[in-house]
Amino acid sequence: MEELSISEGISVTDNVKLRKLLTLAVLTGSVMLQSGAETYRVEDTIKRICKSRLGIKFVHCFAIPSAIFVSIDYEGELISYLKRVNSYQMNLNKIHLTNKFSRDFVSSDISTEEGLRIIEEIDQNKSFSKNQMILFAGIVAGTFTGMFGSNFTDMILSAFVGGITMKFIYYLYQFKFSAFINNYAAGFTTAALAYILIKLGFATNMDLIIIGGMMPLLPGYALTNAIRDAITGEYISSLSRGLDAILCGLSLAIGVATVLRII
Amino acid sequence: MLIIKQFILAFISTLMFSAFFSAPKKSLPLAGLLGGLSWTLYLLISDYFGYSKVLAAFIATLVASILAEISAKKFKKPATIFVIPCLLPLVPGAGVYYTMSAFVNGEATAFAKFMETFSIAGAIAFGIMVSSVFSNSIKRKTY
Repeated sequence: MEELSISEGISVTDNVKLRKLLTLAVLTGSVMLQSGAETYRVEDTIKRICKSRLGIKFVHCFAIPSAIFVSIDYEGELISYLKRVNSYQMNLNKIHLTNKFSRDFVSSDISTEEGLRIIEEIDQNKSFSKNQMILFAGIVAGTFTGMFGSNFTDMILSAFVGGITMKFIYYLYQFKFSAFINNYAAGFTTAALAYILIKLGFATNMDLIIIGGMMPLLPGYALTNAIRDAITGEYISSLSRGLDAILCGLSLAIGVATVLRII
Repeated sequence: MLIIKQFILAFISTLMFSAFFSAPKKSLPLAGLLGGLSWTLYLLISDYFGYSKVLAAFIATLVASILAEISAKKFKKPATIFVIPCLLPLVPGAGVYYTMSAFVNGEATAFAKFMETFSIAGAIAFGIMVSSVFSNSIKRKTY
């Protein structure tokens, strides 16, 4: 167990260095959290980054999906940092890049300023444009409809339904509604479009088109993260992500149910 | 023949799903393969050998996530990059839909469907938990 030491204070230059290091660590952590990394990974990365410089031994970090708390002790000077993190959007590439950055930072002697610059670059990183994302969501919807056993026409139509729904969600993002409203609207749109296609006589199986359209929107990643957090004993993060998964899935289902009830 | 078609569809959908989650471009084909494998295994166990869907989901999750952990170790990438996409085909989207549709129409089978969907989700969760034996990174922490 590390013991806290008490001193008269540290020099100004050391203090500046310490603050920069802490900022870098917390910034890295918040980029990871916003990309949907598991909290144990975030805590681990922050600890590694802090311990790699200035001979710091006492680092304690606590991360939950909406906040990061870090305390470090450097020659008796105790500094804490609390950062709130906003809602996250899954970005596996950013998780990979930050992970790689933290390995590089720990094993080499990159300066903290350089590190801050790299992290900001990673945060700006966008692998795919919005239109590409819409295309991907469409193809996911189409292939899932095929996997559940529909014919080829329905697959193509389902891809259109999935794409249009995703475009609609991106449109809704600018109004900053809660995730549940967005999911409800998405479920409603998917089901309504599928119903219209059936009524117009293009599609044959409404159920499969709706299932395909729902697949890109179901919170499977939140469920996976919740379980992985629970394994490491991070029960608060696990519960919060599990609740996120359940409520998002529920609002999506209710959106679809509204249409099924009306027709 | 049907199983090959299913594999290809699952491969494409997982690959696109990983791209949708902005996965690193180099890891896309492998994630697709793992997703195709997990879905094919699920179909083989549940439809061809006739075991329950819950058992099928458990075994498919277990095999796919162990392979994902191994490939994460081999390519020195966070395991999430492979684990999340390869489990997405198994998420019971159809179960959620049919459950909800049964509830809306007031069918008596609604609760049975709900139980099945819930059990599949539980089986996936348990599969991930068991697979963590093969992982270095997810171990219970001590402070």
